[in-house]
Amino acid sequence: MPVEKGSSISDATFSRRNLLHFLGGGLVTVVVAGIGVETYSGFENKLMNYSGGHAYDPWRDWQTYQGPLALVAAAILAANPHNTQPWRFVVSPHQIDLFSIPSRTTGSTDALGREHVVGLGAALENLSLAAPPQGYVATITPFPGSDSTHVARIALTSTNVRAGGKLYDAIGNRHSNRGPYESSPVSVSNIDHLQKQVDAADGFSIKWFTTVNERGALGKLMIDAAQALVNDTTQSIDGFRWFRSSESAIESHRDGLTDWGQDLSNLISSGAILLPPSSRHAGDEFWLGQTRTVHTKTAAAYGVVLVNDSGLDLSRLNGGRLLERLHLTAVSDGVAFQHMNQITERIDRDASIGAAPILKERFNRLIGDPLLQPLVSFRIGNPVRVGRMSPRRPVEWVT
Amino acid sequence: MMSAIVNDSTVYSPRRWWMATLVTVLGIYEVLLSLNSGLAVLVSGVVGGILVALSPWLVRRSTTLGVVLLVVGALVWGIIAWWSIIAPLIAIVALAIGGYLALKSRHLTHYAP
Repeated sequence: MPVEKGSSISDATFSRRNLLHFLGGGLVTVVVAGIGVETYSGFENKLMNYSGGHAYDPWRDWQTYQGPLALVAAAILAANPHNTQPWRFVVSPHQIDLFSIPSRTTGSTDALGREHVVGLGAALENLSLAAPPQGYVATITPFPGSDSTHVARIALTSTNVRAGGKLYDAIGNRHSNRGPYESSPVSVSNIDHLQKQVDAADGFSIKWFTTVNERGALGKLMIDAAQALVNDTTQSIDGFRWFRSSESAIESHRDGLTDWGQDLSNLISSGAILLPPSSRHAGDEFWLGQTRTVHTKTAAAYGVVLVNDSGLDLSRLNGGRLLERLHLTAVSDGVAFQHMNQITERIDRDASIGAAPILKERFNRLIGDPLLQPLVSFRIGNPVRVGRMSPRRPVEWVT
Repeated sequence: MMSAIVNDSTVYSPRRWWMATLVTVLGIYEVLLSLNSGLAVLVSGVVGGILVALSPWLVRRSTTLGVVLLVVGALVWGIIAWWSIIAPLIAIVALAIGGYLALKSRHLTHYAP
């Protein structure tokens, strides 16, 4: 029945009801549109399957390569600072040359280039571990020429024997685990396995921090170093430069740090993906918070690799090889492993700007051996969750 | 005759049509998000999304069928992918709008002579 004009009561009721319906419908539409924006963001950033993109293919297909490229495919999965992947390989049928890319650095965060060379050493170790399964004997000559970027020459001699090994098998499963660890201690046998790797490496030793007091003291120093690093704007900027906050950045660069790589729970990671990218300051605060409440709080033990002279590139290169073996040993034993180098990052930064070596003195007191210098540090524990993959530049990009 | 007028004016009213369209859009979101997923989320999301998208239009024929499709399509995926935040959100909103449509449909059918 048509409503007549002038029927004020009916009009008012009709209008109010219509208005409420209109507002309700509008609100629902806005909600659905908002969900649409987040859906698109989730789709673009592979919310439901972070590792679905090509940036993670090297972890899946590293064993499909044959010949010398198979060695490179293993090498590019090595641990390295901020996932800068500072390597380039020149490959010929019986030789591989490993070069450093000086521009792929974390700048003031690695002020003396320590981690840069350690990362190259880790790649070299993976490369040498992959030689026997391909029927090669690898003969490594570190720093073979006058070119400072020529890190190593690997001569390959073919044999009829093809043999892998526990560490080789672990290469594809090695991921830094930045998540929480169980409160249970790491078994003595697991630490023994790690210790044997150190004992087999000439010129290196390791200082373990396993008791509550030891862990507490080193953890405090790590938090202080993280705070100092966050307070140093230059270091903060240089570190943040390697953070990839979107799927398109991950796919185009295939390096750097990611939200998923922080090994947060899926729920928290999803929130980080759906929210706008965090600022450098927010990222710093987050990392500092994680250092306080997760990394140091749940570490079952710390290890600090020691060497006579941490300033020598050869020590750094061999230290990187040892560090990779330690990580692979941990992975093959089911032990979580995270590289934690903020103390040495701050020590090197202090040295480079002429600041008082306060952290260095504190660290040396904890190490307790004036003849040895810390090269790299890590924490271990029984994992709560599996460490996630980091993006990698494929073999074709680095050869 | 009265019954036909009531049902036509409610089921096909622009507002109800718009609400049904929004549920369908949510079903499409569900499909879209699931395309990049692992197997369980992929299957539950693609199948579930199609069910959610169809459900408001099937409510006109059978309220029960529409509600079952909506609940199965939204809930299973929303639970499997609960950690993603967006999946349970889509499920909740789809259930709320779709449930409202179903209630209205049942209410009007009940009072139709």
